Amino acid sequence: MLWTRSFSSSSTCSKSACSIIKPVHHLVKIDKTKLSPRFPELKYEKNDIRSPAFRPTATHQDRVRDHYNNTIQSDMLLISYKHDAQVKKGLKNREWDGSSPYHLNRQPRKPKGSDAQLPDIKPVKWHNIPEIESININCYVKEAKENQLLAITAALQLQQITGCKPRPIFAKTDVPTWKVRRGTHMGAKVELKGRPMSQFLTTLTEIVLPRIREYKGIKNKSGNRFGGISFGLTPDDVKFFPEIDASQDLWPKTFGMHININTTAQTDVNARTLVSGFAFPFFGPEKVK
Amino acid sequence: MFRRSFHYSRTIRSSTKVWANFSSRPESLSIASEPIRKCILEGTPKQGPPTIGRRSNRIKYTSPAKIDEVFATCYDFLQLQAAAKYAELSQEQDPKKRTELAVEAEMNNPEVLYNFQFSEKRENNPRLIDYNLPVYRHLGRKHWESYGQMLLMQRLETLAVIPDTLPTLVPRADVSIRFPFSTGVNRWIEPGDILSSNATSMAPTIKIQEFDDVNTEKQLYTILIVNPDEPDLASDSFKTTLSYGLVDLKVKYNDNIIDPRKFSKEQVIANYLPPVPEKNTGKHRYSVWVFRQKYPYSNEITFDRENFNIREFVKKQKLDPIGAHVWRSEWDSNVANIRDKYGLAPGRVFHRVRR
Amino acid sequence: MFPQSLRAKKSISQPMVNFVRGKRTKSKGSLSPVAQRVVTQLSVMSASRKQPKLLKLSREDLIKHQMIQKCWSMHQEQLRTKRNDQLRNQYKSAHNAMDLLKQIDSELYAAANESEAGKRFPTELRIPTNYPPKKIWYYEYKKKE
Repeated sequence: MLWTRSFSSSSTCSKSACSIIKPVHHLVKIDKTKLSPRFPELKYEKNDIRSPAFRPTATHQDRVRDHYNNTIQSDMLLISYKHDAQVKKGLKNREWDGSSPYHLNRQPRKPKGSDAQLPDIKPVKWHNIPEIESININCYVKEAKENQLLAITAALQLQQITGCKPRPIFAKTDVPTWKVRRGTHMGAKVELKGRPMSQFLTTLTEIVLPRIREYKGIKNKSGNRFGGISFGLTPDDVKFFPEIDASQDLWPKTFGMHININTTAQTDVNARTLVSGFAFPFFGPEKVK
Repeated sequence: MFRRSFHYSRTIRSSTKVWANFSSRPESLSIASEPIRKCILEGTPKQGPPTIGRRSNRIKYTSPAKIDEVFATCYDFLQLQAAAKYAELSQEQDPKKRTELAVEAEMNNPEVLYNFQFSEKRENNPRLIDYNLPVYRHLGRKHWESYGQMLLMQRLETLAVIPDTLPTLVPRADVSIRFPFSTGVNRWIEPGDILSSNATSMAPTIKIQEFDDVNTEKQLYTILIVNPDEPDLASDSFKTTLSYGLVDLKVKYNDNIIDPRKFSKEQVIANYLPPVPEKNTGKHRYSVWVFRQKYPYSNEITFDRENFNIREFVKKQKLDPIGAHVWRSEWDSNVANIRDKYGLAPGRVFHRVRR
Repeated sequence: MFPQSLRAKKSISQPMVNFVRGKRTKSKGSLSPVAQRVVTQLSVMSASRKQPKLLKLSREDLIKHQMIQKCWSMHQEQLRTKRNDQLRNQYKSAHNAMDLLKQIDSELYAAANESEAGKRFPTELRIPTNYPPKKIWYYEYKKKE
């Protein structure tokens, strides 16, 4: 039977239930922000010079990037070349065998020897050569639980060093033994990408690290299994950054920080080789897994 | 300091200056005003950019440093790319690919960009924006998609023109309407506008802007204006009436406004009946539908104007909907005058009845 | 600046009472030096009043700017495709060479296919600069007092 739209609104509705989401009868994607007549300048893309949020990005040569493209990329391809390499399957969740009726709809079993599934490791080819993706700097100040102002100073230190706006970090949980309470402002972190990252890398390897007394390098054990390399700088090391060094009397207290280098390498072995190409020294016994 | 330059495998010869040779190129690919053209291509003159009208503002204005030098290099680079595209175009046979190449060859031409960005796109001047050229059609479509198309589809959906008249629409042409100036609304109507009965008392002019490659000499168009909100008491529902019907129309890329001077009596299948909504029947949606015809209009297929079935009509005539528009009308105190003028019966007045 | 009488009048007509709401009554210096320090630090980090003026380009310059942007992105894309092609060719020729080696000499092949885990770039490798110094590192460097 064909349903007809009623003219009189008081007629009973024959439907017992209706969908809350209205159907759409066309395939044109509608961007509502573009339709609003308000704030026409906000409708430009962020990289359009007419937009108020415009920030020039390619303002200078990125010599770290050039170094990577000209030297390291092809070398990394050769170093990690393995003939007839196959995809190495990571540990995956196991299915139940179905011998019991209770196996139906039960969550799959965790992989053997791991709490979570592990990614597959694909052979390195021209399209997945490892590169440095980003650098995360994390500055957690223990003393900030007593003196909240120190967290602000730590944030300023990060901004001075990197030139990027830091974000605050807060304690996640209560830890009674450390007298840490949840939600306390404990320091700052910053994620560097692109040119600021290159700038930070070169400052680190050319100015700061060589000036550290008896500096041996990054531990060869460093790594998070998936191609991230981490190391730390002590408060004294941080003083060697030229931005801090130039005005030492303004910085009676500096803060140590953790530096995580995120790479697209799939293993730590590859990641360490890559990072050594940017003049980071390594030391200690190599951990090959 | 350190100067960097693009390295070309070959030096720029006069044959590669494809954008400068106007012996074989249409005029609309160049900027009309000579001072502006010189300012862009040869560098800003001492007295400042000519598009800034006031002398004091011109003096205050400073261009970004070295922009002229950098632009000169970039212009040469882009022109070389365009020359390669033109070389490819001369070899290509497939018409679809030819259009694509013709667009790509001119898309980065600063003169084309200037003309398109800073001139009227709907009522275009063919000297500046010539929709006969694929590149302007491409830019026009992009411009339409960035606002007009989205607005139209949003209004059609929220006003339920689709599916109340036709099930759906894949928009391909920009349809805009306006009413004669004497009625007082001297602008292009935005989809979904509520218009007074006086404003809509005379037939609208309809503009169909095609962006696709069509044969403008042969392609025929049909325009239907339907009102799906006419109360039908017998079935306690609504019926669709046909307010205006035009067939076998031809439009060009630039000259595409359809008004009574452009068609003859045979092309009108239904004379214009102005919106005369009856009192307390709410807002009536007057939906304009534009179709491409596969065949010329056939008289054998009859239709009932008062109880018009648009889906059946479209199916029988093998019409392809490419664009739509909608405006809304409701009862106002002038409706009686309009009814008088067109010799229509006096309208009914509905009341809300409690059951 | 003012005549004597006018100045006197002005001082009378402007009483000392200030009715502006939210006006700072204490001077800035009343904050403790530590707190003042943090206030300065926060103002250094905050974005207020640091945003540069919006660039207003004339029509001609806007077109020029857009063309320069377009040209730059096209150039970068060309470089990128060129680099990728070269890497692909490099990989393929390494692959072909190893295939050949496998057929000719299995010993050499095994040596060539050995894992290079733990390999490091030489520590002398520097990120190139436009004007490298003649002396790379001043080992006896002392800070000037």
